[in-house]
Amino acid sequence: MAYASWAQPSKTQGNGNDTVAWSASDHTGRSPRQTQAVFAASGVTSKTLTIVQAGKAEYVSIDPTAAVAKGGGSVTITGRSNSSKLTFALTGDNGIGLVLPTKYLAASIETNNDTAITGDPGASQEYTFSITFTGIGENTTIGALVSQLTVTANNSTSATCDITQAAGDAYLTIEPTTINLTAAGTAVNVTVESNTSWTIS
Amino acid sequence: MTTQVPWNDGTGESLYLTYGASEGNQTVTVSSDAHTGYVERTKNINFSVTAGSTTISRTLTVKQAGKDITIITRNDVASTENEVAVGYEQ
Repeated sequence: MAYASWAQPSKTQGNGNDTVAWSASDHTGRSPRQTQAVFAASGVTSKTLTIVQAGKAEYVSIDPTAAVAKGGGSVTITGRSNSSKLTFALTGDNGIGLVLPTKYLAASIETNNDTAITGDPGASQEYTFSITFTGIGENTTIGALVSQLTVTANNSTSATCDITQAAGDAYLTIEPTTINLTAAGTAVNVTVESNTSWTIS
Repeated sequence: MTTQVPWNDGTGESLYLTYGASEGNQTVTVSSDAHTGYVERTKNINFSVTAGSTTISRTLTVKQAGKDITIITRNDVASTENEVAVGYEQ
């Protein structure tokens, strides 16, 4: 039986006494993996070598930043992990007013937040996950808004994404636009609506 | 706070705009010195905001009526002319 392709010997044949070095491609899954290589020579019993590669420590990473248009809409944030479960939470001030989705995609599998991922794909290799925020409202302020998403793996390691919504446009309205004062100059009210400071001239 | 805006019509009289703060949503109360003239006067007042390189302006037109004129017709005096109209300040 051939050894797995992730295991690479320094040579596949030799003569007499020799040393064979083994290397392996990067293993991103949590669980160790193993394969067997058979050394054979004419007239002798074959010998089997078992090669074991350790798993990668459980981890999670996420896009460090994400941008939302000033008009709102949606934003998808992606990351990678080999954890068996991911937990998403909005941390900080949530200036954008995001609503945390109840589901996300892990290795293309729709998964409930804070729930074990079906099939535990992270055991054998890392997977990509994504979470999409929808229904984001328009930024009606003239300053950028910021929210923070934190994703935590099953072993409590975590990563954060700073989500920034672009500053909205300034606006100014007055109502009414024409007023009539009596000769005595009796006061009349005018309503000014704006999202920033204004001047009169 | 109050902003005084002269009518600049030679009377020395002014408009007054009173408001809580010059930012966000506000009610601006507009009043004026009493108009000592007889003709309606008009003043345009500009409200503006600047955000980055963009400036937005809105114009408030303020009109103030002139003081009333009372027309008195007198025909109880001896005169060679009847129905003489004279204007008096009310």
